[in-house]
Amino acid sequence: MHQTVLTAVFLALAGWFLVGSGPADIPLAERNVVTLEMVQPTTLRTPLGPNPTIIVGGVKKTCQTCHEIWDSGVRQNKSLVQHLDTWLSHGENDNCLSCHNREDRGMLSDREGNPIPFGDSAALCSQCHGPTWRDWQSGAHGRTNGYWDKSKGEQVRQQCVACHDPHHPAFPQLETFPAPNTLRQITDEHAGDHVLEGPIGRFREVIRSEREAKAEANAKEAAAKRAALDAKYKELGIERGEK
Amino acid sequence: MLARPSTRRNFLRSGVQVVAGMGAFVSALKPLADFDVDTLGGVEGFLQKHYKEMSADDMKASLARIESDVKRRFDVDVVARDIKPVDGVEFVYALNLSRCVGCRKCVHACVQENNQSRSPEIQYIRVLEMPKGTLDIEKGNHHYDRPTVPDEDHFYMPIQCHQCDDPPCTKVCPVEATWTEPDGITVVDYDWCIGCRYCEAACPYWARRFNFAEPTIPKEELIAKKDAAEAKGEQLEVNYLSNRPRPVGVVEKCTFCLHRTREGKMPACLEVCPVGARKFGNILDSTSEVAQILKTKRVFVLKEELGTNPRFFYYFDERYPQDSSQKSFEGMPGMPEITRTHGASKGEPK
Repeated sequence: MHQTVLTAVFLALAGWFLVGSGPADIPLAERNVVTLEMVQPTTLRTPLGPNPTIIVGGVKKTCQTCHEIWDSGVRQNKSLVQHLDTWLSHGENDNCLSCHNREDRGMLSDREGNPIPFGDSAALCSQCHGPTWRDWQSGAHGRTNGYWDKSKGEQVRQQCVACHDPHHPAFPQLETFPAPNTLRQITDEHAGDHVLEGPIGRFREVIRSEREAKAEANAKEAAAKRAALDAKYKELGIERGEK
Repeated sequence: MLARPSTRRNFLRSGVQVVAGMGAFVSALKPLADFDVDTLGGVEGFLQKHYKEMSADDMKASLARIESDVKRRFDVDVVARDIKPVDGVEFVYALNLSRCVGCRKCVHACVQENNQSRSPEIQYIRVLEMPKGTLDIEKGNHHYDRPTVPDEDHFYMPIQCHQCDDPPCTKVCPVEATWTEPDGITVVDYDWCIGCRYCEAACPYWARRFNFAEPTIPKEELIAKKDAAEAKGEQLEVNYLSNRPRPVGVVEKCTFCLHRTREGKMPACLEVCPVGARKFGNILDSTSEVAQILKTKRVFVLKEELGTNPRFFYYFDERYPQDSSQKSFEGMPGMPEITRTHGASKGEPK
Protein backbone atom coordinates (compact mmCIF):
# COMPACT_ATOMS: atom_id res chain seq x y z
CA MET A 1 0.00 0.00 0.00
CA HIS A 2 2.60 2.55 1.11
CA GLN A 3 4.64 1.64 -1.95
CA THR A 4 1.85 2.98 -4.10
CA VAL A 5 1.68 6.17 -2.03
CA LEU A 6 5.43 6.62 -2.37
CA THR A 7 5.22 6.08 -6.08
CA ALA A 8 2.47 8.66 -6.36
CA VAL A 9 4.49 11.21 -4.38
CA PHE A 10 7.55 10.43 -6.44
CA LEU A 11 5.64 10.84 -9.68
CA ALA A 12 4.06 14.07 -8.53
CA LEU A 13 7.45 15.46 -7.54
CA ALA A 14 9.03 14.39 -10.83
CA GLY A 15 6.17 16.02 -12.68
CA TRP A 16 6.57 19.22 -10.70
CA PHE A 17 10.32 19.32 -11.27
CA LEU A 18 9.77 18.80 -14.97
CA VAL A 19 7.02 21.36 -15.48
CA GLY A 20 6.51 23.53 -12.46
CA SER A 21 9.92 24.63 -11.24
CA GLY A 22 11.80 27.41 -12.96
CA PRO A 23 15.46 28.28 -12.54
CA ALA A 24 16.53 29.22 -9.04
CA ASP A 25 15.81 32.82 -8.19
CA ILE A 26 19.05 34.15 -6.72
CA PRO A 27 18.55 37.52 -5.06
CA LEU A 28 21.13 40.08 -6.12
CA ALA A 29 21.91 43.23 -4.23
CA GLU A 30 21.07 46.52 -5.85
CA ARG A 31 23.92 47.79 -7.98
CA ASN A 32 25.91 50.76 -6.82
CA VAL A 33 26.50 52.87 -9.88
CA VAL A 34 29.96 54.38 -10.04
CA THR A 35 30.76 55.73 -13.48
CA LEU A 36 34.09 56.26 -15.15
CA GLU A 37 33.93 60.03 -14.57
CA MET A 38 33.73 59.53 -10.82
CA VAL A 39 37.02 57.65 -10.69
CA GLN A 40 39.24 59.92 -12.74
CA PRO A 41 42.75 60.55 -11.36
CA THR A 42 42.08 64.23 -10.76
CA THR A 43 43.78 66.03 -7.92
CA LEU A 44 41.75 67.43 -5.07
CA ARG A 45 42.19 71.01 -6.24
CA THR A 46 43.59 72.94 -9.16
CA PRO A 47 46.50 75.07 -8.03
CA LEU A 48 47.39 78.43 -9.52
CA GLY A 49 50.10 78.24 -12.13
CA PRO A 50 52.82 80.82 -12.71
CA ASN A 51 51.51 84.34 -13.45
CA PRO A 52 48.04 83.95 -11.94
CA THR A 53 45.26 86.12 -13.26
CA ILE A 54 41.90 87.16 -11.95
CA ILE A 55 38.76 88.24 -13.77
CA VAL A 56 37.52 91.59 -12.51
CA GLY A 57 34.43 92.95 -14.21
CA GLY A 58 34.94 90.57 -17.12
CA VAL A 59 38.51 91.73 -17.72
CA LYS A 60 41.54 89.57 -17.07
CA LYS A 61 43.93 91.24 -14.65
CA THR A 62 47.14 90.19 -12.95
CA CYS A 63 47.62 90.53 -9.21
CA GLN A 64 49.89 93.50 -9.73
CA THR A 65 47.17 95.41 -11.58
CA CYS A 66 45.65 96.23 -8.23
CA HIS A 67 48.60 95.77 -5.92
CA GLU A 68 50.69 98.22 -7.89
CA ILE A 69 48.46 100.78 -6.24
CA TRP A 70 47.34 99.11 -3.04
CA ASP A 71 49.79 97.78 -0.59
CA SER A 72 48.35 95.78 2.21
CA GLY A 73 49.18 95.11 5.80
CA VAL A 74 50.98 92.19 7.23
CA ARG A 75 47.80 90.56 8.50
CA GLN A 76 44.64 89.95 6.55
CA ASN A 77 42.78 93.25 6.48
CA LYS A 78 39.19 92.74 7.43
CA SER A 79 37.98 95.72 5.44
CA LEU A 80 39.12 94.05 2.23
CA VAL A 81 36.87 94.02 -0.75
CA GLN A 82 38.81 91.36 -2.64
CA HIS A 83 39.86 87.91 -1.35
CA LEU A 84 36.82 87.64 0.88
CA ASP A 85 36.71 83.91 0.26
CA THR A 86 40.22 83.51 1.58
CA TRP A 87 40.55 82.50 5.18
CA LEU A 88 43.58 81.36 7.03
CA SER A 89 43.84 78.26 9.19
CA HIS A 90 47.49 77.42 8.80
CA GLY A 91 48.63 77.05 12.38
CA GLU A 92 50.99 79.77 13.50
CA ASN A 93 51.44 80.96 9.97
CA ASP A 94 48.74 83.63 10.01
CA ASN A 95 50.54 86.26 7.99
CA CYS A 96 49.79 86.91 4.29
CA LEU A 97 53.29 88.15 3.61
CA SER A 98 54.88 85.03 5.07
CA CYS A 99 54.19 83.44 1.71
CA HIS A 100 53.17 86.25 -0.65
CA ASN A 101 55.72 88.63 -2.10
CA ARG A 102 55.09 92.21 -1.09
CA GLU A 103 56.79 93.79 -4.10
CA ASP A 104 55.36 91.51 -6.78
CA ARG A 105 52.00 89.93 -5.97
CA GLY A 106 52.33 87.67 -8.98
CA MET A 107 55.00 85.87 -7.01
CA LEU A 108 55.34 84.03 -3.74
CA SER A 109 58.09 84.83 -1.32
CA ASP A 110 60.56 82.84 0.70
CA ARG A 111 61.61 83.77 4.22
CA GLU A 112 64.21 86.21 2.98
CA GLY A 113 61.71 87.92 0.71
CA ASN A 114 63.12 86.38 -2.47
CA PRO A 115 60.44 85.74 -5.10
CA ILE A 116 59.24 82.19 -5.77
CA PRO A 117 56.88 81.71 -8.71
CA PHE A 118 53.41 80.28 -8.23
CA GLY A 119 53.69 76.72 -9.50
CA ASP A 120 56.88 76.10 -7.53
CA SER A 121 55.22 76.19 -4.16
CA ALA A 122 57.17 73.18 -2.85
CA ALA A 123 60.22 75.44 -2.58
CA LEU A 124 58.20 77.69 -0.29
CA CYS A 125 56.44 75.02 1.83
CA SER A 126 59.70 73.14 2.37
CA GLN A 127 61.05 76.02 4.46
CA CYS A 128 58.89 74.92 7.37
CA HIS A 129 57.77 71.38 6.52
CA GLY A 130 61.13 69.66 6.52
CA PRO A 131 60.23 66.00 7.07
CA THR A 132 57.31 66.23 4.65
CA TRP A 133 59.57 67.86 2.07
CA ARG A 134 62.10 65.07 2.53
CA ASP A 135 59.38 62.43 2.07
CA TRP A 136 57.95 64.27 -0.93
CA GLN A 137 61.35 64.32 -2.61
CA SER A 138 61.81 60.59 -2.18
CA GLY A 139 58.24 59.91 -3.26
CA ALA A 140 56.97 58.66 0.10
CA HIS A 141 54.67 61.65 0.53
CA GLY A 142 52.28 62.98 -2.06
CA ARG A 143 50.91 61.73 -5.31
CA THR A 144 52.83 60.33 -8.25
CA ASN A 145 50.89 59.84 -11.45
CA GLY A 146 51.68 58.50 -14.87
CA TYR A 147 54.54 56.07 -15.31
CA TRP A 148 56.55 54.23 -12.66
CA ASP A 149 59.04 53.51 -15.44
CA LYS A 150 60.22 56.95 -16.50
CA SER A 151 61.90 55.55 -19.60
CA LYS A 152 58.47 54.66 -20.99
CA GLY A 153 56.51 57.79 -20.22
CA GLU A 154 56.08 60.89 -18.14
CA GLN A 155 55.92 60.75 -14.38
CA VAL A 156 54.01 63.54 -12.68
CA ARG A 157 54.88 64.47 -9.11
CA GLN A 158 52.00 66.51 -7.79
CA GLN A 159 52.88 69.77 -6.06
CA CYS A 160 51.88 70.41 -2.42
CA VAL A 161 49.07 72.75 -3.48
CA ALA A 162 47.50 70.21 -5.84
CA CYS A 163 46.09 68.54 -2.72
CA HIS A 164 46.50 71.04 0.12
CA ASP A 165 44.91 74.46 0.13
CA PRO A 166 47.80 76.65 1.32
CA HIS A 167 45.43 78.83 3.34
CA HIS A 168 43.99 75.87 5.26
CA PRO A 169 46.25 72.97 4.43
CA ALA A 170 44.79 70.17 6.55
CA PHE A 171 42.91 67.62 4.49
CA PRO A 172 39.12 68.03 4.40
CA GLN A 173 36.71 65.15 4.88
CA LEU A 174 36.17 63.20 1.66
CA GLU A 175 33.05 61.69 0.21
CA THR A 176 32.79 57.93 0.74
CA PHE A 177 32.31 55.71 -2.29
CA PRO A 178 29.71 52.93 -1.97
CA ALA A 179 30.36 49.99 0.35
CA PRO A 180 30.40 46.46 -1.03
CA ASN A 181 26.99 44.88 -1.36
CA THR A 182 27.91 41.23 -1.34
CA LEU A 183 28.26 40.64 2.36
CA ARG A 184 25.42 42.81 3.59
CA GLN A 185 24.09 39.95 5.68
CA ILE A 186 26.77 40.78 8.23
CA THR A 187 25.13 43.50 10.22
CA ASP A 188 27.11 46.44 11.43
CA GLU A 189 26.77 45.35 15.05
CA HIS A 190 29.08 42.46 14.26
CA ALA A 191 31.72 44.51 12.56
CA GLY A 192 34.30 46.70 14.11
CA ASP A 193 33.51 48.44 17.32
CA HIS A 194 33.47 45.53 19.74
CA VAL A 195 37.19 45.80 20.35
CA LEU A 196 36.76 49.28 21.73
CA GLU A 197 36.81 48.08 25.30
CA GLY A 198 39.41 48.43 28.00
CA PRO A 199 41.87 51.32 27.85
CA ILE A 200 40.92 52.29 24.29
CA GLY A 201 37.25 52.35 25.21
CA ARG A 202 37.86 54.53 28.26
CA PHE A 203 40.07 56.82 26.19
CA ARG A 204 37.31 57.10 23.65
CA GLU A 205 34.86 58.17 26.34
CA VAL A 206 37.30 60.82 27.54
CA ILE A 207 37.83 62.38 24.14
CA ARG A 208 34.30 61.98 22.90
CA SER A 209 32.76 64.79 24.96
CA GLU A 210 35.78 66.96 24.23
CA ARG A 211 35.31 66.39 20.52
CA GLU A 212 31.61 67.04 20.62
CA ALA A 213 32.17 70.37 22.35
CA LYS A 214 34.90 71.27 19.89
CA ALA A 215 32.78 70.30 16.89
CA GLU A 216 29.92 72.40 18.19
CA ALA A 217 32.18 75.41 18.70
CA ASN A 218 33.69 74.91 15.24
CA ALA A 219 30.28 74.74 13.63
CA LYS A 220 29.25 77.92 15.41
CA GLU A 221 32.41 79.68 14.33
CA ALA A 222 32.02 78.58 10.71
CA ALA A 223 28.38 79.67 10.69
CA ALA A 224 29.30 83.05 12.15
CA LYS A 225 32.09 83.56 9.60
CA ARG A 226 29.77 82.55 6.84
CA ALA A 227 27.03 84.90 8.01
CA ALA A 228 29.48 87.80 8.36
CA LEU A 229 30.77 87.14 4.88
CA ASP A 230 27.30 86.93 3.40
CA ALA A 231 26.42 90.22 5.10
CA LYS A 232 29.56 91.82 3.72
CA TYR A 233 28.82 90.61 0.22
CA LYS A 234 25.31 91.93 0.53
CA GLU A 235 26.53 95.26 1.82
CA LEU A 236 28.98 95.56 -1.06
CA GLY A 237 26.38 94.36 -3.51
CA ILE A 238 28.67 91.63 -4.84
CA GLU A 239 27.08 88.66 -6.50
CA ARG A 240 28.42 85.48 -4.81
CA GLY A 241 30.84 83.49 -6.86
CA GLU A 242 31.93 86.47 -8.94
CA LYS A 243 35.64 87.11 -8.77
CA MET B 1 10.70 -8.31 -8.58
CA LEU B 2 11.36 -11.43 -10.64
CA ALA B 3 10.16 -13.65 -7.83
CA ARG B 4 6.79 -11.96 -7.87
CA PRO B 5 4.03 -13.55 -9.87
CA SER B 6 3.37 -11.69 -13.08
CA THR B 7 -0.01 -10.36 -12.22
CA ARG B 8 -1.73 -7.35 -13.72
CA ARG B 9 -1.16 -5.45 -10.41
CA ASN B 10 2.58 -6.13 -10.38
CA PHE B 11 2.92 -5.20 -14.03
CA LEU B 12 1.19 -1.85 -13.51
CA ARG B 13 3.16 -1.13 -10.34
CA SER B 14 6.57 -1.69 -11.90
CA GLY B 15 5.44 0.19 -15.01
CA VAL B 16 4.59 3.22 -12.90
CA GLN B 17 7.93 2.96 -11.07
CA VAL B 18 9.89 2.90 -14.32
CA VAL B 19 8.00 5.93 -15.65
CA ALA B 20 8.58 7.80 -12.38
CA GLY B 21 12.26 6.92 -12.40
CA MET B 22 12.67 8.11 -15.98
CA GLY B 23 10.76 11.27 -15.16
CA ALA B 24 13.07 11.99 -12.27
CA PHE B 25 16.12 11.30 -14.45
CA VAL B 26 14.93 13.64 -17.19
CA SER B 27 14.09 16.40 -14.73
CA ALA B 28 17.52 16.01 -13.12
CA LEU B 29 19.09 16.62 -16.52
CA LYS B 30 16.78 19.53 -17.24
CA PRO B 31 19.33 22.30 -16.39
CA LEU B 32 21.46 21.01 -19.28
CA ALA B 33 18.76 22.21 -21.68
CA ASP B 34 19.64 25.79 -20.71
CA PHE B 35 23.37 25.16 -20.94
CA ASP B 36 25.14 27.50 -23.30
CA VAL B 37 28.68 26.40 -24.03
CA ASP B 38 29.62 29.99 -24.90
CA THR B 39 29.24 31.09 -21.27
CA LEU B 40 32.15 28.79 -20.40
CA GLY B 41 34.41 30.13 -23.10
CA GLY B 42 33.03 28.08 -25.95
CA VAL B 43 34.30 24.80 -27.40
CA GLU B 44 37.55 26.41 -28.54
CA GLY B 45 38.14 27.81 -25.08
CA PHE B 46 37.50 24.40 -23.61
CA LEU B 47 39.89 22.64 -25.97
CA GLN B 48 42.60 25.28 -25.74
CA LYS B 49 45.98 24.47 -24.17
CA HIS B 50 47.29 25.73 -20.83
CA TYR B 51 48.65 29.27 -21.02
CA LYS B 52 52.24 28.14 -20.53
CA GLU B 53 51.97 25.49 -23.25
CA MET B 54 50.46 27.71 -25.90
CA SER B 55 52.52 28.47 -28.99
CA ALA B 56 52.46 31.95 -30.51
CA ASP B 57 49.85 30.76 -33.01
CA ASP B 58 47.72 29.21 -30.28
CA MET B 59 47.80 32.51 -28.40
CA LYS B 60 46.88 34.42 -31.54
CA ALA B 61 43.87 32.17 -32.05
CA SER B 62 42.92 32.48 -28.40
CA LEU B 63 43.12 36.29 -28.47
CA ALA B 64 40.95 36.34 -31.60
CA ARG B 65 38.43 34.15 -29.78
CA ILE B 66 38.47 36.54 -26.80
CA GLU B 67 37.82 39.51 -29.08
CA SER B 68 34.84 37.84 -30.73
CA ASP B 69 33.62 36.64 -27.35
CA VAL B 70 33.61 40.22 -26.00
CA LYS B 71 31.87 41.38 -29.17
CA ARG B 72 29.21 38.72 -28.75
CA ARG B 73 28.63 39.38 -25.06
CA PHE B 74 28.94 43.16 -24.90
CA ASP B 75 28.78 44.31 -28.52
CA VAL B 76 32.02 46.28 -28.11
CA ASP B 77 35.14 46.03 -30.26
CA VAL B 78 38.26 45.42 -28.22
CA VAL B 79 41.84 44.46 -28.91
CA ALA B 80 42.98 41.44 -26.90
CA ARG B 81 46.64 41.28 -25.95
CA ASP B 82 48.99 39.12 -23.95
CA ILE B 83 51.61 41.36 -22.37
CA LYS B 84 54.64 39.49 -21.04
CA PRO B 85 56.68 40.31 -17.91
CA VAL B 86 59.72 42.54 -18.28
CA ASP B 87 63.18 41.26 -17.27
CA GLY B 88 64.77 42.84 -14.20
CA VAL B 89 61.45 43.96 -12.80
CA GLU B 90 59.81 42.75 -9.62
CA PHE B 91 56.74 44.69 -8.59
CA VAL B 92 56.10 45.81 -5.04
CA TYR B 93 53.29 47.85 -3.56
CA ALA B 94 53.49 50.08 -0.49
CA LEU B 95 50.51 51.63 1.26
CA ASN B 96 50.74 54.50 3.71
CA LEU B 97 48.33 53.85 6.58
CA SER B 98 48.96 57.33 7.96
CA ARG B 99 47.41 58.82 4.83
CA CYS B 100 44.61 56.48 3.75
CA VAL B 101 41.26 58.06 4.59
CA GLY B 102 39.10 55.15 3.48
CA CYS B 103 37.22 56.86 0.63
CA ARG B 104 37.12 53.65 -1.48
CA LYS B 105 37.91 55.46 -4.72
CA CYS B 106 40.58 52.80 -5.42
CA VAL B 107 37.97 50.04 -5.15
CA HIS B 108 35.80 51.50 -7.86
CA ALA B 109 38.64 52.61 -10.14
CA CYS B 110 39.82 48.99 -10.02
CA VAL B 111 36.37 47.70 -10.96
CA GLN B 112 36.33 50.01 -14.00
CA GLU B 113 39.88 49.19 -15.04
CA ASN B 114 39.63 45.44 -14.68
CA ASN B 115 36.08 44.93 -15.99
CA GLN B 116 34.84 43.22 -12.86
CA SER B 117 31.25 42.08 -12.68
CA ARG B 118 28.96 44.80 -11.36
CA SER B 119 26.19 42.39 -10.43
CA PRO B 120 26.90 40.04 -8.80
CA GLU B 121 29.42 42.49 -7.46
CA ILE B 122 33.10 41.62 -7.60
CA GLN B 123 35.75 43.91 -6.15
CA TYR B 124 39.44 43.13 -5.70
CA ILE B 125 40.10 45.74 -3.02
CA ARG B 126 38.39 45.67 0.34
CA VAL B 127 38.88 48.69 2.56
CA LEU B 128 38.57 47.83 6.24
CA GLU B 129 37.58 50.36 8.82
CA MET B 130 39.74 49.33 11.75
CA PRO B 131 39.03 50.29 15.33
CA LYS B 132 42.10 51.80 16.94
CA GLY B 133 43.92 49.34 19.13
CA THR B 134 43.94 46.36 16.80
CA LEU B 135 45.59 45.13 13.65
CA ASP B 136 43.40 42.03 13.55
CA ILE B 137 41.69 42.31 10.20
CA GLU B 138 38.89 40.05 11.42
CA LYS B 139 37.79 43.04 13.50
CA GLY B 140 37.61 45.43 10.58
CA ASN B 141 34.29 46.67 9.24
CA HIS B 142 33.89 46.02 5.51
CA HIS B 143 30.62 47.88 5.16
CA TYR B 144 31.10 51.24 6.82
CA ASP B 145 28.78 53.65 5.12
CA ARG B 146 29.52 57.11 6.47
CA PRO B 147 28.76 60.01 4.14
CA THR B 148 32.29 61.29 4.67
CA VAL B 149 35.58 59.83 5.84
CA PRO B 150 37.82 59.52 7.81
CA ASP B 151 36.24 58.84 11.16
CA GLU B 152 38.39 59.83 14.10
CA ASP B 153 38.00 56.62 16.05
CA HIS B 154 39.15 54.41 13.20
CA PHE B 155 41.93 53.97 10.74
CA TYR B 156 41.56 52.52 7.29
CA MET B 157 43.29 49.49 5.87
CA PRO B 158 42.80 48.54 2.22
CA ILE B 159 43.49 44.89 1.44
CA GLN B 160 43.97 43.34 -1.96
CA CYS B 161 46.13 40.57 -3.40
CA HIS B 162 49.51 40.70 -1.67
CA GLN B 163 51.24 38.94 -4.60
CA CYS B 164 53.03 36.66 -2.13
CA ASP B 165 56.48 35.30 -2.80
CA ASP B 166 55.30 32.02 -1.29
CA PRO B 167 51.61 32.01 -2.15
CA PRO B 168 49.33 29.41 -0.57
CA CYS B 169 46.75 29.88 -3.34
CA THR B 170 48.84 28.53 -6.21
CA LYS B 171 49.91 25.45 -4.25
CA VAL B 172 46.37 24.23 -3.68
CA CYS B 173 45.23 24.55 -7.29
CA PRO B 174 44.59 20.99 -8.52
CA VAL B 175 45.00 21.94 -12.18
CA GLU B 176 47.78 24.56 -12.03
CA ALA B 177 45.50 27.23 -13.41
CA THR B 178 47.17 29.82 -11.20
CA TRP B 179 50.86 30.59 -10.80
CA THR B 180 53.33 33.37 -10.03
CA GLU B 181 54.92 35.18 -12.95
CA PRO B 182 58.62 36.17 -13.00
CA ASP B 183 57.74 39.78 -12.10
CA GLY B 184 56.01 38.61 -8.94
CA ILE B 185 52.39 38.79 -10.06
CA THR B 186 50.16 35.82 -9.32
CA VAL B 187 47.81 35.24 -12.24
CA VAL B 188 44.91 32.97 -13.22
CA ASP B 189 44.31 31.38 -16.61
CA TYR B 190 40.53 31.84 -16.69
CA ASP B 191 40.22 29.25 -19.44
CA TRP B 192 42.02 26.63 -17.38
CA CYS B 193 40.36 27.32 -14.01
CA ILE B 194 37.80 24.67 -13.04
CA GLY B 195 36.17 26.82 -10.36
CA CYS B 196 36.88 24.56 -7.37
CA ARG B 197 37.63 27.65 -5.22
CA TYR B 198 40.42 25.92 -3.26
CA CYS B 199 42.61 28.98 -3.86
CA GLU B 200 39.92 31.26 -2.46
CA ALA B 201 39.90 29.21 0.72
CA ALA B 202 43.70 29.09 0.91
CA CYS B 203 44.27 32.83 0.58
CA PRO B 204 44.73 34.47 4.00
CA TYR B 205 44.09 37.95 2.58
CA TRP B 206 40.61 37.39 1.04
CA ALA B 207 42.09 38.37 -2.29
CA ARG B 208 40.33 35.94 -4.61
CA ARG B 209 36.83 36.26 -6.02
CA PHE B 210 34.60 33.69 -7.68
CA ASN B 211 32.16 34.35 -10.50
CA PHE B 212 29.05 32.61 -9.23
CA ALA B 213 27.03 33.94 -12.13
CA GLU B 214 27.77 35.23 -15.60
CA PRO B 215 29.56 38.52 -14.91
CA THR B 216 27.61 41.59 -15.98
CA ILE B 217 29.30 44.73 -17.20
CA PRO B 218 26.93 47.40 -18.50
CA LYS B 219 27.54 47.92 -22.20
CA GLU B 220 27.36 51.71 -21.84
CA GLU B 221 30.22 51.64 -19.34
CA LEU B 222 32.40 49.69 -21.76
CA ILE B 223 31.50 52.14 -24.50
CA ALA B 224 32.42 55.05 -22.19
CA LYS B 225 35.78 53.37 -21.61
CA LYS B 226 36.26 52.83 -25.32
CA ASP B 227 35.44 56.48 -26.03
CA ALA B 228 37.88 57.62 -23.35
CA ALA B 229 40.61 55.41 -24.84
CA GLU B 230 39.93 56.63 -28.35
CA ALA B 231 40.02 60.25 -27.20
CA LYS B 232 43.60 59.52 -26.14
CA GLY B 233 44.33 57.93 -29.52
CA GLU B 234 44.32 54.43 -28.05
CA GLN B 235 42.15 51.38 -28.51
CA LEU B 236 40.12 49.66 -25.83
CA GLU B 237 42.37 46.78 -24.85
CA VAL B 238 41.83 43.71 -22.74
CA ASN B 239 44.58 41.41 -21.56
CA TYR B 240 44.61 37.62 -21.46
CA LEU B 241 45.82 37.24 -17.87
CA SER B 242 44.15 40.27 -16.37
CA ASN B 243 41.21 42.40 -17.42
CA ARG B 244 39.44 40.50 -20.19
CA PRO B 245 35.80 39.80 -19.28
CA ARG B 246 35.64 36.54 -17.36
CA PRO B 247 33.36 33.57 -17.98
CA VAL B 248 31.05 32.26 -15.26
CA GLY B 249 32.48 29.81 -12.74
CA VAL B 250 36.09 30.97 -12.56
CA VAL B 251 38.21 32.64 -9.92
CA GLU B 252 39.78 36.04 -10.47
CA LYS B 253 42.05 38.38 -8.51
CA CYS B 254 44.13 41.56 -8.49
CA THR B 255 47.03 41.40 -10.92
CA PHE B 256 48.60 44.77 -10.00
CA CYS B 257 46.98 45.85 -13.31
CA LEU B 258 49.68 43.93 -15.19
CA HIS B 259 48.36 45.20 -18.53
CA ARG B 260 49.25 48.70 -17.31
CA THR B 261 52.25 48.06 -15.10
CA ARG B 262 54.13 45.85 -17.57
CA GLU B 263 54.03 48.81 -19.93
CA GLY B 264 55.47 51.15 -17.32
CA LYS B 265 52.23 52.70 -16.07
CA MET B 266 50.94 52.87 -12.52
CA PRO B 267 48.08 50.61 -11.41
CA ALA B 268 44.58 52.13 -11.60
CA CYS B 269 44.06 52.11 -7.82
CA LEU B 270 47.18 54.20 -7.32
CA GLU B 271 46.33 56.70 -10.03
CA VAL B 272 43.08 57.74 -8.37
CA CYS B 273 44.14 57.73 -4.72
CA PRO B 274 43.30 61.31 -3.67
CA VAL B 275 45.71 61.30 -0.72
CA GLY B 276 48.75 59.66 -2.31
CA ALA B 277 48.67 56.73 0.11
CA ARG B 278 49.50 54.19 -2.60
CA LYS B 279 53.00 53.64 -3.95
CA PHE B 280 54.14 51.21 -6.59
CA GLY B 281 57.33 50.33 -8.40
CA ASN B 282 60.22 48.04 -9.15
CA ILE B 283 61.93 46.70 -6.05
CA LEU B 284 65.02 45.75 -8.05
CA ASP B 285 65.64 49.44 -8.82
CA SER B 286 67.12 51.12 -5.72
CA THR B 287 66.04 54.57 -6.90
CA SER B 288 62.35 53.67 -7.20
CA GLU B 289 59.79 55.19 -4.85
CA VAL B 290 59.05 51.85 -3.22
CA ALA B 291 62.75 51.23 -2.65
CA GLN B 292 63.02 54.60 -0.92
CA ILE B 293 60.05 53.75 1.25
CA LEU B 294 61.45 50.37 2.23
CA LYS B 295 64.70 52.10 3.09
CA THR B 296 63.33 54.92 5.20
CA LYS B 297 59.91 53.97 6.57
CA ARG B 298 58.53 51.72 9.27
CA VAL B 299 57.30 48.98 6.97
CA PHE B 300 55.38 45.85 7.86
CA VAL B 301 53.46 43.07 6.15
CA LEU B 302 50.13 41.62 7.07
CA LYS B 303 49.98 38.18 8.71
CA GLU B 304 53.75 37.92 8.67
CA GLU B 305 53.55 34.78 10.82
CA LEU B 306 52.08 32.80 7.92
CA GLY B 307 55.34 33.06 5.98
CA THR B 308 53.69 34.13 2.75
CA ASN B 309 56.27 36.89 2.11
CA PRO B 310 53.92 39.43 0.56
CA ARG B 311 54.96 41.97 -2.07
CA PHE B 312 52.48 44.36 -0.49
CA PHE B 313 53.81 46.50 2.35
CA TYR B 314 52.10 48.84 4.76
CA TYR B 315 53.91 51.75 6.31
CA PHE B 316 53.42 54.68 8.64
CA ASP B 317 54.66 58.22 8.61
CA GLU B 318 56.30 59.69 11.69
CA ARG B 319 53.17 61.46 12.65
CA TYR B 320 49.53 60.83 12.13
CA PRO B 321 47.56 63.56 10.36
CA GLN B 322 46.32 66.05 12.89
CA ASP B 323 43.15 65.36 14.82
CA SER B 324 40.49 66.38 12.36
CA SER B 325 38.14 67.50 15.13
CA GLN B 326 40.50 70.44 15.63
CA LYS B 327 39.30 71.88 12.38
CA SER B 328 35.92 72.31 10.86
CA PHE B 329 35.95 73.40 7.30
CA GLU B 330 32.39 72.52 6.63
CA GLY B 331 30.40 75.50 5.49
CA MET B 332 33.50 77.68 5.27
CA PRO B 333 33.91 79.83 2.17
CA GLY B 334 35.39 77.97 -0.76
CA MET B 335 34.94 74.52 0.76
CA PRO B 336 33.06 72.05 -1.40
CA GLU B 337 29.79 70.92 0.01
CA ILE B 338 29.96 67.16 0.29
CA THR B 339 26.92 65.31 -0.81
CA ARG B 340 26.78 61.72 -1.88
CA THR B 341 26.30 61.66 -5.60
CA HIS B 342 26.11 57.94 -6.13
CA GLY B 343 25.16 54.64 -4.65
CA ALA B 344 22.65 53.67 -2.08
CA SER B 345 23.48 55.35 1.20
CA LYS B 346 22.19 53.11 3.91
CA GLY B 347 22.25 54.06 7.55
CA GLU B 348 23.67 57.04 9.32
CA PRO B 349 27.25 57.24 10.47
CA LYS B 350 27.70 56.06 13.98
